[in-house]
Amino acid sequence: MNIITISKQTMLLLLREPKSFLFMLAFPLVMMLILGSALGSAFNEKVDIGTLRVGYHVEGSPQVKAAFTQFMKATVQDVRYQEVTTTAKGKNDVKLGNRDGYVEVNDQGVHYYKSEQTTIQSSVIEGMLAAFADRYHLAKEIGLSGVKDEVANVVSEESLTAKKAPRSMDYYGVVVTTMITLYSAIGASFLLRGERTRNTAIRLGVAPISKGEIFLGKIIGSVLMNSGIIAVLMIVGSLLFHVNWGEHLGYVILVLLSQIVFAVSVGVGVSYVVATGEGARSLLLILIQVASFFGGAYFKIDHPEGFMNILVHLSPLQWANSAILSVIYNDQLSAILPVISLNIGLAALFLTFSAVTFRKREGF
Amino acid sequence: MNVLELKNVTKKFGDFIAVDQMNLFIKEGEIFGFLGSNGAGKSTTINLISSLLRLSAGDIYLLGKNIAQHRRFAKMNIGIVPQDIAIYEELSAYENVRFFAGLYGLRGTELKKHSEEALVFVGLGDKMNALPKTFSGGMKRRLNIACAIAHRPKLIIMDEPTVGIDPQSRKYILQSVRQLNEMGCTIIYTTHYMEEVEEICSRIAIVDHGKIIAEGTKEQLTNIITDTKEVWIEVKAIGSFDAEVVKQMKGVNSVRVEEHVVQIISQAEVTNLHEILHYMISQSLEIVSLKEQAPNLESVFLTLTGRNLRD
Amino acid sequence: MEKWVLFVKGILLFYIAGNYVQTEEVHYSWVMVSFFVYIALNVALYLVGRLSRMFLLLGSIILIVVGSIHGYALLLLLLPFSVCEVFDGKAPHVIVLLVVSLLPLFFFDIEPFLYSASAAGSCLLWKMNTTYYCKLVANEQQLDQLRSHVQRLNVQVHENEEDRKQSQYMSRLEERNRISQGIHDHIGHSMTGALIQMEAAKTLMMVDQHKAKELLDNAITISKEGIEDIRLTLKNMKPPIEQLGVQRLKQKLDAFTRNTHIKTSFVFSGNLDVISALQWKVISENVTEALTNALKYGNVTEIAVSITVYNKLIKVVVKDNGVGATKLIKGLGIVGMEERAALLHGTVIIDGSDGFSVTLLLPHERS
Repeated sequence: MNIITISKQTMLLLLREPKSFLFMLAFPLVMMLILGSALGSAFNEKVDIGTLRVGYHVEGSPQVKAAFTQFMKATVQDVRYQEVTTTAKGKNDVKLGNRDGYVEVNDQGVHYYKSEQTTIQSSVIEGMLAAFADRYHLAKEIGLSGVKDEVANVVSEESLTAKKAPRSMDYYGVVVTTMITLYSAIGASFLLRGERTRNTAIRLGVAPISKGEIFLGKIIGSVLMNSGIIAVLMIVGSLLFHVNWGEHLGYVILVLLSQIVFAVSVGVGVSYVVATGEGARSLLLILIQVASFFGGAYFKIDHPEGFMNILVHLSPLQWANSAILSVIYNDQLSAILPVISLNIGLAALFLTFSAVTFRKREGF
Repeated sequence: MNVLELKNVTKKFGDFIAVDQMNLFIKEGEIFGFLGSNGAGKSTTINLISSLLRLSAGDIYLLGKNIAQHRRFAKMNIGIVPQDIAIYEELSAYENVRFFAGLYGLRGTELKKHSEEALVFVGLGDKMNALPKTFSGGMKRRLNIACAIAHRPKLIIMDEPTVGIDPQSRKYILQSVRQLNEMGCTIIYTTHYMEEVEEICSRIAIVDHGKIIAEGTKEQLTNIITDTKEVWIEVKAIGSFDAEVVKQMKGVNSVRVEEHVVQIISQAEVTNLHEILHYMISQSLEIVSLKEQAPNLESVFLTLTGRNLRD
Repeated sequence: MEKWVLFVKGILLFYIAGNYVQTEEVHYSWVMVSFFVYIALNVALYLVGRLSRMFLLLGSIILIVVGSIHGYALLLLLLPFSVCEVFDGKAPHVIVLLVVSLLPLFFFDIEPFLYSASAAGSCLLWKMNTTYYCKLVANEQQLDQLRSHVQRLNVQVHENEEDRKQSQYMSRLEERNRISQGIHDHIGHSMTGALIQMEAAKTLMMVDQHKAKELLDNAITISKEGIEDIRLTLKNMKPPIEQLGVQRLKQKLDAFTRNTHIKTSFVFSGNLDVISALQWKVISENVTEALTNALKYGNVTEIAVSITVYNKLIKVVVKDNGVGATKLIKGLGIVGMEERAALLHGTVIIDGSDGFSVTLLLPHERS
């Protein structure tokens, strides 16, 4: 019962502090907006196709010739067609990357040699040619016809971007939200210290309630309050920026909740290690900044290598982010288990440490 | 019945002994004054009584029960008015009192009633929903008291409740203390203001370096130093003054006349000044100045500890 | 403590031996020699003095190193413990110990995990062992100190009691002496004089009535004087304790000044008569203690002693002009002062904020 009283009180106190409240809401929204729109190019959501360069060689009946000429004229896409005299030269140009593809049209059909370097462009051409062949009932023989093998060493194994991929706003919507969960640590570092600076610690100390009740009440209040803020943030984010939270919202919320518990515990723990309130605050700010940086809150770190890789994987944000993104975009629900257990485990560690220190300390 | 009893209470912080084998008892219905300069061990003693600190040695009994074994009982029956104002600036006066009273197991309408009554008692009935930010120093001090009494404790400990406030608020607070006392509360009162102690305390302990060096009523304490008081009366002309007449008055020990000054030494507990003056006026003596030196707590404190209380 | 150290070493040896038996390694002689010499050295450790101990430890360290190179590598597990032992009771921080004992990892080919685990275990065990051993020793010392203190106090209480009785007896004796002296000196003479006069008057009564009357008048006057003398003798019966006490204290302070060249001053006010002999004794002892104390805290050039008697209270202050002490630690001296004061229901206040001052407050004995 006392725990409820204390946590209600904690929430009320936080509510009455509009400054930090506003910070927790406005700051992430502005960040989503700025980062989401400014750093969008890092995401392959739109590929500029530009001018398609196609070499061609036409043989055979005049109908075929006429048809192909008409096809070339009718093309809406910006394509530069160039007549090539021999097959060998046509293939070579593609190989060297001067062209996006080479077409040979004869009575037997359409032969298309596509480039492996400009995949998207050649796919576009391939699509157009397929339509052409269909219309004229030409046998199509679209294939690589050996080109692939010869250019094997310039082919990157990278596949085209997956079908389901976050837009930049989706990415930042998630990442900034998880980052804000970490900021609850700062408020948490003042949970118990604040009582001391207000002198109200004396009153709590002389009241017939146990230290455990105070401790638990404060933490529960703080977690609930921060969860509320995150919930508002999620709702506003999806309304304003249409941030995609996927189809498994419950799982995402679980991860975020564990992250809040983790952050609050770290905040409380740090407040017991560092002597002054300002010191604790600075330390937490630095930790959060580092974690945010390596956790990809400011820009996406795609394929970290070496030392960077280690740092990235040490960031608690990274755990949460990759788990949430996996849930949203790859339906990997099991990805949340390790994150949640890690968060809760570390939180338990920090809380135990704080609780023991709190208990041992005389007074408050 | 003893509301509070301290037996050989000792508190050490490392090598430093803050409270040194203190023995003390406070009876029901007393307003007990705790006098001592800063760092004398008053606040530590209060913190020990209120279970904020753990005893290094000794025992404390509240209403006959050892507080180490009956912590909850002890806490329920003690109300603390801390030296520093201990309230939430973000919460309204009512919310403050309600929260703290709520920690003592009060619920629902009872909680509401108690909280409101406490606020009305300290004269903040019309400010219940105002934020303490808007309060004057005196009003904050009163709210500070309200937070400590809403759960109706038997023993109220007030640690410097009148520091830095206007005379009117002080008067109000002293009045409230007396009223609480009349309502059946036993009160421990610490202050730097000697006149407050003289005004309201029924018994006083002087604390120095963690020890009680003297204890008793105001009269008992001053009596330690001396049992006489002196009056100097300066007159324009000594005229028909007869020392023998004054000597016969009650309580007068000796009378000396030196030029225009009459020095009268009499017993401290006897009030005879008006009688002396009456005689002098009846003899048509014109009084130029009058000085009385009676022992007060301030001089007792200075004599016993070698320091002024407000150092 | 030795027992446990030996136990741990035994366990390590057992483990190494067990492992050795299971391996294919030969070097039989080296290993056996190392084992036995190690045991010999480590048992000898407890039989010799400090310096030889160091040599033995050094020897066993060399033995372990050589043995592990030429014989069986696992012997190195014994090293951390010996390294720890070199530091003896003055064990440095456990981290330092650990780092030192982990050094061989860089020079020897040994399974790192096994070695680190055993090194860490050894260091921690050693640290724990020495820490608690030191605490135990310190506690025992303190206990001894307290015991002797209690003993001293007991003696003191006893002495005080004896003293009180003695001084009571002495003062009674003195009184008796003085009274008999007084009776002998004055009343005796007067009575004899009066008697002679009366005898003479008796013989003259018939012969010369006028003369006889004169003699009788004389006898009456002498008797009157005698009665007055009795009254005076009885009135002066009180011995001048206060003079004695003040005198003694003054002498003490003078002697102190002569020995230490620290100036002393002594003032007193109020009715010193009320101070009893026992109170004087406590005052004198506490002043002595306070003077000794003042010497300890340095930079003292002047000490002021004052005795003031108030209506219900005697206040004795010894105050110096030295550096004082902001953080006060109660030594035996101060505790002694407090105990003496407590015997007479008094208190001692010690303040180090402005020079060092010791205030003794004693209630009047009558009240």
